[in-house]
Amino acid sequence: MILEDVRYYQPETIREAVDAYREAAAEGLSVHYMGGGTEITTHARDGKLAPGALIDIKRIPEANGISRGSGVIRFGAAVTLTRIADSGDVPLLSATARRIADRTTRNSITLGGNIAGMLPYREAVLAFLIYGGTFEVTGPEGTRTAAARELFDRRVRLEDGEFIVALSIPESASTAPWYYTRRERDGRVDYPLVTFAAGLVRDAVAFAVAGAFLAPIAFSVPAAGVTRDVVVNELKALGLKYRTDMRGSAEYRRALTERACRDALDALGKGAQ
Amino acid sequence: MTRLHVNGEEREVVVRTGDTLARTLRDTLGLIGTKIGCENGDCGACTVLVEGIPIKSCIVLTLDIADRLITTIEGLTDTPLQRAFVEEYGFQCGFCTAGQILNATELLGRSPKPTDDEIREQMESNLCRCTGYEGIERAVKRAAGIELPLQKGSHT
Amino acid sequence: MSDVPRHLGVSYRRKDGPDKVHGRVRYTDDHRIPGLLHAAVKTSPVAHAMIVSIDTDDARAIPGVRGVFVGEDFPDHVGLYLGDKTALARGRVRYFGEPIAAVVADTERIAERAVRAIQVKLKELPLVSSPREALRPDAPIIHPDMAEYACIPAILPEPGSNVGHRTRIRKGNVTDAFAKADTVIEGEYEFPPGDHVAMEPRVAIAEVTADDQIIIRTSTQSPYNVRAIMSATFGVSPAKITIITPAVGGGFGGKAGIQLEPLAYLLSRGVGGRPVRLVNTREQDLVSSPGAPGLQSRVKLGAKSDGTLLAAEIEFLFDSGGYADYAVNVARAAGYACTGPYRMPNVRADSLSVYTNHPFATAYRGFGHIEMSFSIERSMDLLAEKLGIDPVELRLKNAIRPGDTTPSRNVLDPNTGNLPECLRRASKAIEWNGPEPVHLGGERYRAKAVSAFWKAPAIPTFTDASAVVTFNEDGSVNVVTGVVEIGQGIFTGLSQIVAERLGIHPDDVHPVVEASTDRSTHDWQTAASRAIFMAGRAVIAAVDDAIDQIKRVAAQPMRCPSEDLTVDGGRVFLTDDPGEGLPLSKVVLGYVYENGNAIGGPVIGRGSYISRHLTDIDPETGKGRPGLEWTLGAEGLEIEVDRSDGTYRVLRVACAMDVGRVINPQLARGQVVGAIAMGIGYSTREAFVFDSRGRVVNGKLRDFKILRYGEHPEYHVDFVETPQRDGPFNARGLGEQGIIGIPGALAAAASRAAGGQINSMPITPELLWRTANAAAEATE
Repeated sequence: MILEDVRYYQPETIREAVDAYREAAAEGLSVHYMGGGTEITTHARDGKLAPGALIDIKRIPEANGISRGSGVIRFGAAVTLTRIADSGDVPLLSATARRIADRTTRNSITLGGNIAGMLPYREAVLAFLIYGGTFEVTGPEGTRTAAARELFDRRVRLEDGEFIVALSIPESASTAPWYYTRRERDGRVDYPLVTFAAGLVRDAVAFAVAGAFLAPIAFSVPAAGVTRDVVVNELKALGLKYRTDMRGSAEYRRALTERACRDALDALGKGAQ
Repeated sequence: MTRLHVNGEEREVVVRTGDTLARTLRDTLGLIGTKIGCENGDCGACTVLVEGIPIKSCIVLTLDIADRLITTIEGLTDTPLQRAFVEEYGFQCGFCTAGQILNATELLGRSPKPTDDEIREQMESNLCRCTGYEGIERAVKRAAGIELPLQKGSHT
Repeated sequence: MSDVPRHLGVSYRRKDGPDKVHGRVRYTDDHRIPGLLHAAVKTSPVAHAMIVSIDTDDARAIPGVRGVFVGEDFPDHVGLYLGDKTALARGRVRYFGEPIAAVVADTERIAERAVRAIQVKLKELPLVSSPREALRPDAPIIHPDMAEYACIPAILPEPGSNVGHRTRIRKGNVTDAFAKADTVIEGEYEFPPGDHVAMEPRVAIAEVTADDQIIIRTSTQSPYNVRAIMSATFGVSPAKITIITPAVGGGFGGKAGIQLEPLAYLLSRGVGGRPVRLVNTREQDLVSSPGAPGLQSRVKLGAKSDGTLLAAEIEFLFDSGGYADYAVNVARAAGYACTGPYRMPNVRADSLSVYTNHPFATAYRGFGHIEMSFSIERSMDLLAEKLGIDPVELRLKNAIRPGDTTPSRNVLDPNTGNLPECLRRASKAIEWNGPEPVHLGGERYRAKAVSAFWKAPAIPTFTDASAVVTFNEDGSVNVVTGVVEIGQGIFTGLSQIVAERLGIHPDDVHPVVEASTDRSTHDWQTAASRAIFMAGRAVIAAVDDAIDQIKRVAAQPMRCPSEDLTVDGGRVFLTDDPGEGLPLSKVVLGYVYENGNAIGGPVIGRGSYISRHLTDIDPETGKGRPGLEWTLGAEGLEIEVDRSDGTYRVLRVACAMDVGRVINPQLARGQVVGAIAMGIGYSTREAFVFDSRGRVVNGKLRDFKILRYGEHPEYHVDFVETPQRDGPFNARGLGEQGIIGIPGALAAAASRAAGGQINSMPITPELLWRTANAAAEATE
């Protein structure tokens, strides 16, 4: 199936983007902000999405580039996953980005697109959840920043007309100990059964998991005296249901996740007991 | 009319907003070397270079890249990679070949002597059903001037 | 002709190389046709249902729509062997994804829009979701009208049931043999259907001229078969049908027989004969068009304590899905090859093609032999374990040899390949040292396995090929055949055969690539690993015919008997005085004397081949000679498994195959290596996943995975060359066979590494993890 025609905007400023949204929404069109467009094109072909207007944010300067300042590393939402993977600024983020889809698709997929898209995996958000990152969000009501762990609750909680401009991570994340693993059913270019990330953040071990449940989740435990049982119990206390789908059963996902807890602690030097 | 820069030429064409680059290349510009194998970003047969970067043209809107330089397989002539794909039997049916070659072209431009991991990260973007990837691996390595391992077995 | 081959066993580069690496090869959908209309198809969202109503009014009202069609518009039954299918479902849908309605419109976009506007009302029927379910006495009957379907004599449908075909093999006395056996083992095996995933989705572009000529450009392995079936189905003379096939983007059996052509033709006819393009989306190619059959099987083997096989009792239930297509003949082929390549004096086997509400199945590389082999090889390993015999020794001991009989009781002649040698070479290549896994530390284990395979082509008794060679002014040669280039490099191989026979260089041989039934020469189809064997024989005959003509013409100016002449090196010359001769360029279009007189005229060599000594098999006992030549071989592989999470890696795979004669080593290796990779994918991931209503949930390439770069193992390929005396330069077919032994070997190695028995596929990490867990619990 080919996409039906859409209203296509290529704003060069945040202001133009928000104006475009207002204009298209006022006409009753179904409006979507667009990064690489890989999900929009595939979902439109599927019939899962029938966009009336697309606002491509890739030409907005604030949504581009990777920069450092004020103790944070800032990633434009329109930066591609390939660039993030190759940048190495935050090793955990790069490692996570490097395993989403495949490289030539990552050349199109953007950071914001992965996190705000329709697919339930949104793996690029894991590092931001672990390191206490922030979202820079803009919309008709202006620009705001919000803590990743607050704005992201299973998905990004955006208000009508808002889009992600950039995400930031404290600079300390570029050297903090981290752990990452990903398991798939059929080889690594596939959606994950489990994507499991962990990092030492001050006096806590922070964990973030995608694929295992309906949406990405994050939690942390005090680093002192942490054991695999502590982590697994903390995970259980969240009361989440493991997913069963064509790729794997809940039982298998649980086993992979719990095993990753142990491996993460070993890798972070916290699981000796 | 939209101006596209393809293989060193400027082309003025009518593009609909819903057109993907793969469709424009094939249906509007007649560049049929770009193949559509899944139209879902899964197989890589439609891979082309945009500003030298390989992307899957079936999941990218044409208007999105309208002012950028596009290279399709028709834009490559007798490159070392193309010769290596012939010499190392890096194809059989040939349907995925343009995408394989364009993708590998960027790899070798960026990393002239790529490691096995780099080759894998790059080439796992493109499916091939015929070759079992042996010839593709050898073609990429040959073009990079990497010493080829001996093929194992009789008649090699 | 020289005694030492000059162009055989040489890896010439592929003739299609330059065009393929420059994107210059035109496949079916790359041809631009003026006035082309575009078709789109509405498919069934459920697996089994009655069609209550189809409302096409909204679709018809869309500007640019030229026609909307439903099953009632096209009543003709189409069938390869069994006429059980209409181009669009009529009254009932039998599988998820079955085409229900079709639209023809000015553009693809309009056609898609119109398809979405078609309203279909369905009433779901009880689901049949496996062959065993289908055979229950109370199972819903998927084809209540089976008795009325037209059918070829070799296929034996059982109306009133879901059995599309049953092959019976009755050899020796199984009851007595089991009574005498020291050891008996039994195993059950199963796996779901899957798909070929050729990179080029199927496409057909049809038109009907004002003179009622039907012209179809199509991505097929079978131009002449398509023409024959179209002719029979629609009552049109074959002369009024032209099937044109350029290069094909992968076949693997999925483009054999008849595919989109009847619907494309009907749609064109429905819009006044204008050209209509019908192309599968990838999703339709996976699910709506036919794929690989699933299987449920049982095998019981009896042996002496020394491992000598005595008897086999075998049941293969092929899951043909909603329609029979090739699956009926797949079951037949698996039936007469049912024991695998082992000497088995007593056999009782039933091989059935069974209807279910799954996507329907067609030919798939190996044609029933992968399924057969998985069942037999798993059983052989079970037997070896029970007997405490090395599994390779067990295979060597029972390996079939010349003089032994097949399940259909024909005696293997001296042309039969050397299976023990293949077993030894495959074992050596993987450094076989027994079935015990190696513990690498932690929960990581490595294990190896070896399997043996065989396959003869499943072909009509009168399978043919033909060729014509003509010449150009410079003495170079054109070759016309009816074979199709599907990736195998056939025209490079055939050029080498022509070059060898004629004594010229392969660069001077120019095969015509595009097959067109009005200009090519008749050829059964490019399937069953036939092209090099049959078209190879035909081109040799054509070259010999041309050589005779060249000698006859040259004999006159050279004033000698034609039998004194030799053709070689682009010349015709006196055998005993090679300096005396003429360049071919002076002879092949006629010889012109100095005074202007001319003789001869253009040389046209013609060559035909038809399969020899084949018979149908007896419906009660399976006795007969269905197999032209058996290609034998063995495969070995090594796998590493982490029992803690089931992750695995196939480290290396070896295949040793007796191919008679290697024509082009790299092309031959490419076939084997590609087949191995396909076999790994087939064993580990390529299977449809169904929901409780029989709907395919992984019917997209995003979810239905094939092997990817980096997941391929190290390959080892050995060719053994025991001459096939009736093959072209002693060669036999080798295109499919490399896939056959992989599932059995992979399951065996995975079982050893995981510590428990794996008798189903796909062998996913989760299955390995479960197997390892169950084994660990059992030993605790």
